[in-house]
Amino acid sequence: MQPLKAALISLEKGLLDGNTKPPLVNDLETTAAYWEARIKTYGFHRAPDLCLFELAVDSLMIPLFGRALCLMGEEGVPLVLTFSSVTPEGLAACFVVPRLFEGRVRDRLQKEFGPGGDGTRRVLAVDVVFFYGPHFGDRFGIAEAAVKALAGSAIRAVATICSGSCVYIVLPEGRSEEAVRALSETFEIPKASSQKAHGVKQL
Amino acid sequence: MGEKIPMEGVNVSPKMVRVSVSHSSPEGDLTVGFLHPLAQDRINMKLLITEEGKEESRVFCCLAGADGTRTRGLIDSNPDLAKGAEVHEPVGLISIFPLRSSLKTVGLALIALAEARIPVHGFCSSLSALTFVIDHDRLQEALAAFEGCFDFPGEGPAGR
Repeated sequence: MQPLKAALISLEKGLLDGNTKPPLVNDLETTAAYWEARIKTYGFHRAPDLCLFELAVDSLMIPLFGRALCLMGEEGVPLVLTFSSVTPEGLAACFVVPRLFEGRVRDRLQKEFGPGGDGTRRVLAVDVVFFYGPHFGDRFGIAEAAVKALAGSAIRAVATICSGSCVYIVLPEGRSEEAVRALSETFEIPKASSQKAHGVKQL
Repeated sequence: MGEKIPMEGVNVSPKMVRVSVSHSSPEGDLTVGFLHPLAQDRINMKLLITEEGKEESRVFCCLAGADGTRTRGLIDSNPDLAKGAEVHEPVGLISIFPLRSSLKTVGLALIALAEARIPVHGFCSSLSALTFVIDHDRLQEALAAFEGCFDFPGEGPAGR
């Protein structure tokens, strides 16, 4: 496993106190109570040339939707990001895949749901920028700082997802470089990575 | 659908509050209008999903149960937020830690929850976890459902 991923898993499981076994039921919520003049990050990751699918999925459709996702996974469609929130009509379910796989996803959805029956709300060409930093999951204000930084450069995110220590920003296609520049004015990039590649890693 | 998928772990949360706000406001206004007062009041969100559409914007978040009353107060003090807001509690988060997130893992988890008749309020992936938002009193059932398709390390709850 990559050291970075291992470190993130530890952060997300709340293992910073040295426990080697994560508690199944975590009764104590961690709350970090510090604020930096400039919020530190471990650098930005930029993933261009992606495709976002948004579907309206009511509770009866969930097994069919789940099956479609399973089959796409078995067919080798990589997952970049998924997120979903409840609406009065059910779930608004989104998943982001490399644009190279757009046709394969469309075909699979049509096979599983029938023509026009998949509840697709929109398909968008998007970029994704994601980043993480110390105690991001335990501190207030990180998301607001990111949204404000983008708004200051007139960049409107399609979606923002914060979970664990990660912040994902889904952007209209072609806006990720500009978004990283805007975010870099608010968030601090580690010196080592800023010297190498301005703190940006492209996936 | 075949062998169980190995997981590095699973975690469930204490009782949390789910807040959903939707509004046909100009793009970006809802997100900033919602996030700013929460940040000012030092309220942390364990999970946040915002979506900006041409016709509608949505914010969905989960925060600690102890912050529910303050959050309701902040929402109620802003009529624009209040008219499109729904606060639901108690919810819980169940996070699984796959070796590698995939569409198959997400699909299997959704099927498992549907077969157990557990309503899903939301879900999202991060670099190392897949997190599902469900009613808090269904967390143990969700765990049992996941054990049918995922292989968790350890035998007892303490080792998971």
